[in-house]
Amino acid sequence: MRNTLPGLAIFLFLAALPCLAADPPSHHATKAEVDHWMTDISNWNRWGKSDQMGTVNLITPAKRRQAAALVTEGVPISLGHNTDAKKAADNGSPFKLKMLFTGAQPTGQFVVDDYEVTYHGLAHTHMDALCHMAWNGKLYNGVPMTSVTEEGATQLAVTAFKNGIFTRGILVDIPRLKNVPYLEPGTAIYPEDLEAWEKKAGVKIGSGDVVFIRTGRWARRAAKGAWDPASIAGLYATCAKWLKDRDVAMVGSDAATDVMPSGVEGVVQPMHQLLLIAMGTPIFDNCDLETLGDEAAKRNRWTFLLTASPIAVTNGTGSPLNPIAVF
Amino acid sequence: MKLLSLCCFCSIAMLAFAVDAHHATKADIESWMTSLSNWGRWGKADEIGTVNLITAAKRMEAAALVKDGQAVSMSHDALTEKAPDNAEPFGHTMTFTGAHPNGDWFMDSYTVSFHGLAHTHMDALAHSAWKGKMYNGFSQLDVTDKGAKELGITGFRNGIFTRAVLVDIPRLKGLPYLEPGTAIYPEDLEAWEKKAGLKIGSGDVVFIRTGRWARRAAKGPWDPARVAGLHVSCVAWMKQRDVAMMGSDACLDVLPSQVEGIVQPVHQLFLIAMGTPIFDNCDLEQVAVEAARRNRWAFLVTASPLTVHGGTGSPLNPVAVF
Repeated sequence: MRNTLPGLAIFLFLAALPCLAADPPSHHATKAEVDHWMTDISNWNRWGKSDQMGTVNLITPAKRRQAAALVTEGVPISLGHNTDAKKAADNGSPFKLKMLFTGAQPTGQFVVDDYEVTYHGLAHTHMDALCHMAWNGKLYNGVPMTSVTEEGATQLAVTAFKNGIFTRGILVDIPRLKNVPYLEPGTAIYPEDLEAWEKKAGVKIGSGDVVFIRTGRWARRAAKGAWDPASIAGLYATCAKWLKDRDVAMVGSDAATDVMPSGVEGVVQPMHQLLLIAMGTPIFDNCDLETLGDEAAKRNRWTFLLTASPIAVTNGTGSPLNPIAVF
Repeated sequence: MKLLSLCCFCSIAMLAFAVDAHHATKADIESWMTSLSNWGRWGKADEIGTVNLITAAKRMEAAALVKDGQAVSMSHDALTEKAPDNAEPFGHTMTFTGAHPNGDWFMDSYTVSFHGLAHTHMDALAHSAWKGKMYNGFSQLDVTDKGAKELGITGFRNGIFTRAVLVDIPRLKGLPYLEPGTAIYPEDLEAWEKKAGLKIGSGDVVFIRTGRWARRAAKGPWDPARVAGLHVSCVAWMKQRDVAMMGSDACLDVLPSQVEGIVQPVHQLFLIAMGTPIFDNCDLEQVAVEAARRNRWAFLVTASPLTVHGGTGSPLNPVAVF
């Protein structure tokens, strides 16, 4: 048995060699590494044992004042995609608008409607609260997942963010970096892409920022139609540590933030797992970043004030919402 | 002689009207529907009414109001229990819980009939009609089963970002809250301006605090057939100030309206004649505390409705930033 050990080591080394040559380390992560990062880049207890807000704590009053000073033109832009009431490959739970009283049959002088939305998933612009996901039975800050009951999330609910998000937003426009109209499904974004974008845009992502990753998902959907989001462009797992080093408050994207498939065997959405659970970083999913991309490009200005406020649903695991960028 | 006595009669009548600014008839309101109208003011195709008054310059001025960097929600928590003022509770269904997750995920689904007296929401201009017409003359028949063809909530998709002024009537009167049915008159608004040391102006959002949620916390919910709010004579006052939007912690109108034959004349005049959208059922308790602490009644307001294609409004969470 002893004799075989050096042989095994050599075999493993040789087997790993082509992989190393083809792939920089930032392009490869294993489940073991992601498991390790769950501790390594953790913010558990950083703001106390009972903290409910995670990295949103980094949005200080001073940061809000700096963000307000970014309003130099008074031009607001919605990042909410119009609600989609049609079932599609990427819309398993369409938004329901039910007219209770119409112009033909009003209630007195009023027309009234009713909304129903299962907002998590790949269709509706929404915010994930920190209770949305667990790992080994625990939510952010070590809260047991059994705290999410039929009554909803008794901790880490979306009402922790009731006073809204008001900070600097930064658009990271990867299709523009790569000079394509949109990324193809499954395209992974790596830390070096984020750094190349910073250089091109002349910005540095920093503490308390909300980073929006544009993949061009809605542009592609408009051009080619909806597709099964089992394959979708987004951040590779190695970006989590990079974002932790920058101490961002939140991450948003026009799809699911994660690249899918994740490229990490055995972990479906490592970015969601690391951001929500280890770092305590809430996420904006399915934002529409097309108009923002155009407006930012027109000005060659990639930072702006970002305002967003979830609907104050007690014990909610997130909220549909409409984030606004203001130049 | 006849002419003279007619003149006398008219001046006495006018005097009486001036003294009794607290009285309005259905005929007055019909006349205000024209005299206070903004129809055509921003073109025939306009769908956002007085929100046009929130100009880029106004937004920059509003951003400059952020001095402390403190944000305060003006939304009440979603009410999921049926009550006299909550006929349509907010529906919160857990689809996946800690006991039964979907993989590692927990999820829920929301249902809300947001109009009415319970949920913090915004009324789009498609919410109300008078004699078959909505703001700017659009036909009420354009609101079909598919939703509002014009004047829907997506007209405000880029959000509301402007100066807000809190008008705190209980504080003006030295009360914790107003009693149901208490009417607020133009002289109250003027007294508040004097006390607060500010002047409501073009493009502002005015939030009227009646203390509704303080009263509900103290005494429990009550039938909102009686709630405190603006008397209809306040609408012409607001038109002169050219405000962009109105908000309150109840339904803006005093109920009963004190105008025979019109249930919500304030809603009617704002939404239809002036094209002024409304925030209903805001929770103004915390913002009032923060404003009083600073003796500062003007602040930045940010609010953005859900982008519901064809929607007549939206639940939302307006935020004040000091």
